[in-house]
Amino acid sequence: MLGSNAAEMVYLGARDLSRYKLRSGLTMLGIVFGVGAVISMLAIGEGSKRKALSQIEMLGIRNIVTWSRKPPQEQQASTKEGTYVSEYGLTFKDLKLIRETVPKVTRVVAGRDVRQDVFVGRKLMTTRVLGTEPAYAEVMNFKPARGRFLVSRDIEDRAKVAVITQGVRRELFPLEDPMGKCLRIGSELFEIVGVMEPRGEGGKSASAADLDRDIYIPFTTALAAYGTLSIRMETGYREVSRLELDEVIVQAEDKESVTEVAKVIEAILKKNHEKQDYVEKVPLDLLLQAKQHERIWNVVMGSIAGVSLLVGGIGIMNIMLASVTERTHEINIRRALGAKRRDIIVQFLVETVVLSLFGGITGIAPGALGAKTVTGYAGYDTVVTAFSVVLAFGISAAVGIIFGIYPAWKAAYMDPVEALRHE
Amino acid sequence: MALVELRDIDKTYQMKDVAVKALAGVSLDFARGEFVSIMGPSGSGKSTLLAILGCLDRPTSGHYTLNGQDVSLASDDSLSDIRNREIGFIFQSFDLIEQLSVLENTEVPLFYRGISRGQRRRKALEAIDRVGLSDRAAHLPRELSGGQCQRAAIARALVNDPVILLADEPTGNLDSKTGGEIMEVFKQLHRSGRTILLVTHDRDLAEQGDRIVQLMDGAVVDGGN
Ligand SMILES: Nc1ncnc2c1ncn2[C@@H]1O[C@H](COP(=O)(O)OP(=O)(O)O)[C@@H](O)[C@H]1O
Ligand SMILES: [Mg+2]
Repeated sequence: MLGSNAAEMVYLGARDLSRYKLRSGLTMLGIVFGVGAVISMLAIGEGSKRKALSQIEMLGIRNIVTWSRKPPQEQQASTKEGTYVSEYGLTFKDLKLIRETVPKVTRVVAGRDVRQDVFVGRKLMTTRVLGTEPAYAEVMNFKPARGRFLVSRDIEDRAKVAVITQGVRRELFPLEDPMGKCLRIGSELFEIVGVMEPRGEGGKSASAADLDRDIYIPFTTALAAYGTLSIRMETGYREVSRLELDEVIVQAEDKESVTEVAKVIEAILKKNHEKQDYVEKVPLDLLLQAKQHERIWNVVMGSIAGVSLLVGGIGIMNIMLASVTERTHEINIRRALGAKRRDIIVQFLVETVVLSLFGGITGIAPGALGAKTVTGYAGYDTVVTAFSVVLAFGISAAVGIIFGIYPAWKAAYMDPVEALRHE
Repeated sequence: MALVELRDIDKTYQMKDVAVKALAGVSLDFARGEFVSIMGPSGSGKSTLLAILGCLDRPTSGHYTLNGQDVSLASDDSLSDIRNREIGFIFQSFDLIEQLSVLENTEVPLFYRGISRGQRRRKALEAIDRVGLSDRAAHLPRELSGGQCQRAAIARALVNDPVILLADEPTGNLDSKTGGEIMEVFKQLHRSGRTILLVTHDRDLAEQGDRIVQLMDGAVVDGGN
């Protein structure tokens, strides 16, 4: 009689429970909280993981990224009245050393931000114009959607070509096709030869949004046209900074060599730089860090969820035991009418599982809501995945079965002869 | 061969320090189609006998053969099946399941027999019709009078077409007029060939059957074979 009547048993079970709405509702609370905690835990964990992953994906998992940074404690040498010169950052020498001495490396790509305004006609855009090399696209796993990325001919010829990203296209060419159009960078004209694909999911993560506003020109062109000096006018003084490279991206052969490569680069840079005028970032470390955070988070939230579920389960067991006692007579009648012990077990298990599943379903919304609230503080989106919903179902069903077995067993092993003795 | 054969049935209830002998050496035969009344003072073992006949309990010793099958040796699951298919119970206090309608109560034995929903509905309505309760099929037990409840219980007992009906004081909770109506239902079932065992205190009712079995202190003192 099982199986074919499953839907009916669930219906009857739900109907029996609905006879005691308040009691059933209160009994469910523990499960509601437990599942809520599981859902929000997973949603927050998933959100932070996705954020970390998208950042890491932007930076490349096999990459070691180094940036130039103006040292915070820079003593600015004053040459003339009102003029400051600062010299810092990664150098051509660093690049050469890294290229020639670091083992287990597939590609090394240099980048130089020319720090110039960009115009199309009279329309101005202030953004990063990066002089770089053809391998940049591969290293960053970034592909052109139209046209092409930079090629080695562009480097050799110091070609005046530019590849733009979606953010630039939206801002400077909202209505027209940018391919083949001209772009003025500082005082030089460039032809647009490619448009990159969109970067990042809806540009939610900050780093993705940044990358989606870049303009790429050949590395050699950047140096030839703009040199290594940049001059910034501030009210009252001029600041001149000399800076050879803005970034060097090193791609390791495989994930396993990343840490080793990073150490070698670190050693080289340390030796050649007295001041902390560079930053080294290893995306893989970020990933490991994210994983570590996730683990701690899961332990904390898992314990909360576990305790709620345990309390909820015990509550359910308690109620079901009371219900079995209350319904002794019904059970005896059912047995007298031909119910086997397993029929009684199934009947009560179904009721317990319906109760806890209902609690579980009810817990999903508050869980998601809780996660959303956390989103406000954490600064990233929380994601309720299909998996976590399925898991919530699984957990609540399991709680129902585990804590329902004893009451159901008690019901099934009562003596049916009492059916005759009832007065 | 008789439909029911009891041979030397003993039933002893073991309490903490005393043993209560509820049945001692009961041997009885009931033929197919018989309407037998069982009488005896309170505590004489009537309910115990009915529990054993109804496969709700096992004798401490002795043999019980129902419809050619030795029931004394059956497993718990087989006993459930026997109760489901061969036996119809009617209790003193009606014993309908309170949260189920008359129709649903009547469907319960069919449900445990594994009969499909549509068939179940049809058979249950038929049985309800036979006891004249069609217009109350959707009602809950608490919305019915005692007589109507007992009719519903009879419909439920009949629905699987059992070989024997066991009734324990079925009119005990009814006024005499309604009790008489219920007795009419039993007599009609008897005329249509049912085997009925009726436990009662009331000699007038008992005399409406074919035979009266008199119990005293767990033994048959009159009406045995
Ligand atoms: N579960 C039980 N435990 C102990 N003694 C019982 C039990 N059921 C019945 N008895 C005893 O068995 C005897 C017969 O009881 P019962 O069959 O109910 O008699 P009747 O139905 O004729 O009143 C009584 O002495 C009763 O006290
Ligand atoms: Mg009795």
